[in-house]
Amino acid sequence: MQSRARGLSNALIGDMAPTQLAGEAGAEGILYKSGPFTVRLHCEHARMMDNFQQMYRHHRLLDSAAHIAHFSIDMQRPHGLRRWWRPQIRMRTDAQTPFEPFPLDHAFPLFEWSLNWVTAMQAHQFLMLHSAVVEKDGVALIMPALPGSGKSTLCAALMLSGWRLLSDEFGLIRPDDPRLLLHPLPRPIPLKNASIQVIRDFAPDAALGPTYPKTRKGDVAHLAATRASQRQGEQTAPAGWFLFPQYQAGSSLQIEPLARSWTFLKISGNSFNYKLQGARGFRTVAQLVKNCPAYRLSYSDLDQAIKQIEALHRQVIQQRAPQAAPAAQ
Amino acid sequence: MLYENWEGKYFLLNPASGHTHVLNHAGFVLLQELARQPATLTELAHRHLEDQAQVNLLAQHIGQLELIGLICRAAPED
Repeated sequence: MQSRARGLSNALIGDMAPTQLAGEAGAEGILYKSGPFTVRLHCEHARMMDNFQQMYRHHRLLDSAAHIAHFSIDMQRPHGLRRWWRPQIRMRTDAQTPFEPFPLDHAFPLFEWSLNWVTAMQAHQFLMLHSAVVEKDGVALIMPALPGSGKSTLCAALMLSGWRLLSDEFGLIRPDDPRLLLHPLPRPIPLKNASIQVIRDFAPDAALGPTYPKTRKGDVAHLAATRASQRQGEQTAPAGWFLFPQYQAGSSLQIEPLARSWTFLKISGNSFNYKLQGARGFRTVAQLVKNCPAYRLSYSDLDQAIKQIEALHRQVIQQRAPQAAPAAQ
Repeated sequence: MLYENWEGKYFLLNPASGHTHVLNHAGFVLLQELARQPATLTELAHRHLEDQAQVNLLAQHIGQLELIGLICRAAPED
């Protein structure tokens, strides 16, 4: 029997009628491409699919009969009392329910965290740096996610200033690939608490979804990846440099280069699966540290920070040019 | 031995455990020597050291390397 979803193959998620998308997701489920992965999503909550469609407009659906899903996410409404009283939703993947149920109206944040979880648990064909990655002029900037650094806010502001988002969460690199290419995974950026208003002020037209109050990480609102970021979801970019941002209210802009020893410790310690990769992980992080200069940036003003980052990025690209020339021949 | 040296710190992968260790120069040299050829504390002390305080330090160093699994005791010879 031909899959109902087969008729959706190759359509952009944003081009679907919302009722059709929700209908397919609630019936057989949909399959879509997200960076290097295919994701199967089955969802019994039509309103979540509205949020999903808003955030993944430029992702493509795939023929579920012709592709194998890397990740399978099933968003289920529990039976019994919790279907009606203080309704909940839970996520199942590969016959596991790794998280406690969430309130039904927090279905989309649960879906996003679930995708992070399955990626971190399963995508070991990549060395997974816990980092935001953005690209401009063909070179990637990696911003490791140190606690409280304001990484997502800066990543969002860079994307809204014309940079391409590769990921807000995962720096995906094939271990031992001498080209040190970053693979995109241009999913929504989850902004938290004060960052939501900061980005609204920075770009009033930004494609922000609804705010989910009082989640486990406080108030959360998702910012959709730009159209260009989503549509170039398979275009890799070579690692250029590292930036460790640090937001400090009221501070003046400060930039300082970082020692390789410090950078190695932070990058390896901040990876989802460095230890699991063994020698391949060690060699890959060492290559990154040798090839990519690293800086720490303290800032309080986003516009100033972006100007500084743009200047540093141009400098990095100029310094890379002599190295890149022989490889291009 | 898979390692990198930056700013006087040696980053070394222990393939058996998957851990990466950071050693100073003395620790790294000691490890290299033991990797080339097993030796007793007495043999190492004879080669490199002059007084008992240094021997005690060496013993501590060797104990630390053993603790993190970078070296292990060879079976006593018959």
